[in-house]
Amino acid sequence: MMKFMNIFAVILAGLLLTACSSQKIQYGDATAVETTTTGFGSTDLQSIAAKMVDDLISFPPIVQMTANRRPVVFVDKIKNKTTEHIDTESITDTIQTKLLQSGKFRFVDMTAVKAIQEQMQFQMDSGMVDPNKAAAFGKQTGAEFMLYGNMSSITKRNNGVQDVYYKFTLKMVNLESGIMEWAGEKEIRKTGEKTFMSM
Amino acid sequence: MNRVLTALRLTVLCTLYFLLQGCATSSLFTSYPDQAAVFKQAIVAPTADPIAAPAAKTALDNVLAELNEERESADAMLYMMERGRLLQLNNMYPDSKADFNLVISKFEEKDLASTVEVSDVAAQGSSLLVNENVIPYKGAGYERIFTHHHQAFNYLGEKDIDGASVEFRKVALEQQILLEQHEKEVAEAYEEADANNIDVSTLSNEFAGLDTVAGKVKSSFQNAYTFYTSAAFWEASGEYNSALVDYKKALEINSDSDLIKQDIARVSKKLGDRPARKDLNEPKANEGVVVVFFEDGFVPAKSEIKIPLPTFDGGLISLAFPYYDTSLWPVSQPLKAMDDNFKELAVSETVVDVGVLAVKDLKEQIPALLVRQALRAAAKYQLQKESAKQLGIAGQLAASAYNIISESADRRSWLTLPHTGQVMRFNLSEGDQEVRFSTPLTETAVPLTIKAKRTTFVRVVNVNNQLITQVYAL
Repeated sequence: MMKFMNIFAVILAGLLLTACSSQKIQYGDATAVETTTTGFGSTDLQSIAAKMVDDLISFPPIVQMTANRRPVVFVDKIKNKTTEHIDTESITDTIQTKLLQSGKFRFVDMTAVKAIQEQMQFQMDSGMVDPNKAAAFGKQTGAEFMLYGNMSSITKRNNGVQDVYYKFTLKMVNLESGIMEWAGEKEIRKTGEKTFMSM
Repeated sequence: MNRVLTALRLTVLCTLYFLLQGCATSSLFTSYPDQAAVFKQAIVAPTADPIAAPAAKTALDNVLAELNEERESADAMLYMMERGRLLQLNNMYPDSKADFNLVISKFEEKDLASTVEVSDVAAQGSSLLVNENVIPYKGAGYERIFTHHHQAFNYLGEKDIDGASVEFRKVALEQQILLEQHEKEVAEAYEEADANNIDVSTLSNEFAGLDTVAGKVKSSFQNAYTFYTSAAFWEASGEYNSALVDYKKALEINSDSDLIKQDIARVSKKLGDRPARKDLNEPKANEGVVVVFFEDGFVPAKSEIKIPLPTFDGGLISLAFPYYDTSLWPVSQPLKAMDDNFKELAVSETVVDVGVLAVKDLKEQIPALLVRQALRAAAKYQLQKESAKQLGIAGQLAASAYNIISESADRRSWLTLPHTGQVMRFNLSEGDQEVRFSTPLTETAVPLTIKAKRTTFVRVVNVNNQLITQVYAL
C-alpha cells in the first residue's frame, strides 16, 4: 500500500512541477522553416510567394514583354477555399512586393483608392495647396493586367496522422483583351504524426 | 505513534489531492448538470422592460465571469463551449468567437497529441483514487461539429462571409472524419440491408448517390442540422455544387423529409438538371428567401446510477455510472411561422435530435469507462483495507465514507446545446415584413428587411419558455 501511495506522490509532484514551468522568449529567423503545426504557416506563405514570382518573371513571353517597359498590374482578391482562416491578402502583398522589387512591374493599389481620393480632394478644395502643384484628377494610369487566383486545400486525418495538401493558383489576365497571359501553381503537402510520448 | 504518523500522512495526501483537484476541475464534487443549470438559466431573450433588463444583464454578466474563471482549468474546453453559446445568443459575436477559437485549438491539439501523455496519465492515475471527473474534459465528436457550426454563425454575425465559408468547409471535414471513424458500422448496415433484401436503388435521377441505408447509422453521429445549415449557406452564396452535396447528406439522415427533397430538386435545377417535381419553393422575381433555423430546448444531461457493493471484510465500495434516462426527455415542439395576417408560412421540420448524438457518444465511451471503474474499485478497496489495518474500524469507516462521497459519475457534456435542430424555408416579398413565430407555449414577432433574390437566415432558439431570435442577412 505504501508503495502505491508513493507512486502517486511522485506523479503528483511531477504535476506540480510541470505547472510551474516558466516562459522563454527569444528572437528567431523570419525565414526559418516553421513546423509547429500542420496549419498554414510562414514557411508556406514564403514558398508560395517565391515560387509565383520566380515563375512569372522567368516566363518567356513575360520576359519579352517586360524587356523595355514596366506594365501596370492590379491585384484582385485571392479566394480562400481552404478549411483555415488564411489572410490571403498577406500572400498577395508579399507577391506584389517581390514583383515590384524585381523592377519589371508596377502596381495600382486598390486598397488605397479611397485615401488617394480624399487627399486629392483636399489638394483641390481646401485652398491650402498651391493649385499649380496640386495633383490633378483624371491623370492616373489604368492597370493593364489583373492578378487573381484561389487557394484550396484537402485535409485528411486518421489514427493520429494528419495530411494537409494546399494548392495555390495565381493567374494573370490582360484586362483589355481578356486573354490569360500566365498562370502559376504551387502545391504544398504537410503531414503530422502522433509521437508516442510527451509531457 | 506509528498510527498517528500514518494518519497524518493520509491526511496530507488527501489535502494535497483536494488542493490539486480544486484547480483541476470544478465538477469533482458538484455534478456538472447542477452547475450548468445556472448557465442555462442565464439564457434569456433581450427585453426592453426597464425593470427586468438590468437584472437579466447582471445575471448574465455574473455567469459569464464565473465561466471565464475556468479558462485555464482542465475542463476549459467544456466551459468555453457553454460560454461561447451564451455569448452568441446575446449577439456578442467577437467574444464568442474567441471562446470557440480556444475550444477549436484544444480539439486540434488532441488530434496529434501523443499516445502517452504524462500529464494525462497522472490525471488518469488520480482518477483512480477520486472519480472520473478528474480526467480533463476531451470533448465529443458531435460537440466539435457544433463548435464549428456556432463559429460559422459568429462570422455571419460579423458579416464575414469568407470566414463563415471557412467554418462550413471545416465542419464538413469534421463530419467526414466522423464518418471515416464509423466506417465499419456503415458497412455492417449495408450487409444487413443486403441480407434483408432492401433495395436501395429505387430512387429517381436527382437523388443518385444517396444512401438511405447508411443514413440510418449516420444519424447517430453525423449532424444533419449542420449539413442543412451549410447547404442553405452554399445555396445562398451561389455555390450550388456544395449545396447539393450537403442537402443530399442531410436527406441521407432524414430520408423522409419532403422539405429536403424539394431543396435537392431546386438546386439540381439551378445546376441545369430537369427535376421531376414542379413545386420547388423558388422565390419569385420580387421575393427573397427566408431560412429559419429553430433550436428547441436543452440537450438532456447524463444521469447517474450508484451501485454500492459490500466488500468481504465489512466495508463498502461504491460504483457510479453515467447514463441517459430517455424516459425523462421532453418531446420537442415544432415552430410555426405566420405573416402579418396570421397566414401560415411554414412549419419547422426536425433534422437532428442532439440527444441521440449524445447517447451514441456515451455508448462509445463505455468500454474504457468500465475498465477505469474496475481499476478504481480495486484501488479504493486497497485504500480501505489499508486504513482498516492501520487505523482500525474507524479508519475503515472513514475510508468507506470517503469512497461513497468521492465516487461520482462523469456527467459532463455541453449542456446549453439544443435538444433538437429544426429547419424551414419560405419566400417573402421584398420590403419590410414582420414574421410571427410560435410554438404551442410561446410566440414572438421578428421584423425582417427582405431583399429580392437574397437570403435571410433567421435563428430562433426556444429556451426557458421564450423565443430568442437572431437575423443574419446574407
